[in-house]
Amino acid sequence: MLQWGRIKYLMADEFTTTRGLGWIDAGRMQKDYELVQTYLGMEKPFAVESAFTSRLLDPTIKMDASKVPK
Amino acid sequence: MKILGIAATAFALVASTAVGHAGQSVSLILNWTPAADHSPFYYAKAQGWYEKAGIDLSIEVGKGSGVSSLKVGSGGAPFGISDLATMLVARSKGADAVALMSIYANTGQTFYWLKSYGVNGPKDFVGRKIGNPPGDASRVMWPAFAKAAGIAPDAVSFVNVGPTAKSAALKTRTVEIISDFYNSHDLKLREFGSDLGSLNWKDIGLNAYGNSLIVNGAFLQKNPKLSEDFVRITQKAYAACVADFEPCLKALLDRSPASTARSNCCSGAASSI
Repeated sequence: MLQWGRIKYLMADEFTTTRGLGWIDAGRMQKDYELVQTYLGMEKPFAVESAFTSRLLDPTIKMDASKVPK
Repeated sequence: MKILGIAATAFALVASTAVGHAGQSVSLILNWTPAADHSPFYYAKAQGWYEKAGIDLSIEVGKGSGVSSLKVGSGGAPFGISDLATMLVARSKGADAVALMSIYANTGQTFYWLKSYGVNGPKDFVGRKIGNPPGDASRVMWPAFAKAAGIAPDAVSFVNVGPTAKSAALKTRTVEIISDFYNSHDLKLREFGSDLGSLNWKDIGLNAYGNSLIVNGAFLQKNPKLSEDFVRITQKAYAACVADFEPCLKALLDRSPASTARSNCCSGAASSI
């Protein structure tokens, strides 16, 4: 149960709580891509927007921030 | 005759409905053995939500995000769970994988230390030994952390410590800092109490996406409706488990091999690998 509380913390950000549970933000993805490219290396670079989509998510289902332990 | 006609129509409707719900077999490869963060999949399956959408889901135990992202990327499984950075690397090597939903919107990467060793934050990491496995993401990404913390990348030394030996290595002061995932935070808190110090990478401005639901790109192209149903059911299941975890834990324990699920449900030791 305690572990699930930590997981809920990891699930909640400004996008999952407002735009849809599981939302992947384009700006954050771009930063992740650059981080990975710098430190892990990309064998063949690609457009980051081809690697994710949030369009299949139901925007009415949001991460409930009130359930995240303080 | 009229009654017979109605009966025949009703039978035809039932038959066509049954065919419509026969279910398309799809598999999901986990990033690791079933753990609490996977419980919503088992919960939705137990509730029959996937089945009602015509999805006959089988869940496959994984062996790390490297394996799951490559398996999904090669079409060996339509869906999977993978750390997003690992999936990006796999994609750069040709894996046809696309992320559909974040599970860990925040990074689980966390450094742990004991305050009694004189460590109170990253500035005190200088000259210390950090224990983790050689390929550990926090070791690979260490230069980024050092830059964000304002310390030199070569200011620390790394000691090879296996995932299950980290806490023991910290306790015996073989190392003074370890890296681990935030979802096992409470195990350490129980062991070290108020002497435990920690810093999640998010708190220093490094917040990469963690475990996420991924799909094979070609499968997504061919099956847009099924993919959307799968995502939305999964999303609904996570929301239900956020509201009330008890039935999700039960579903996890009921649907997984007991020894595996029970040993992983509350430790989360490897759930972000």
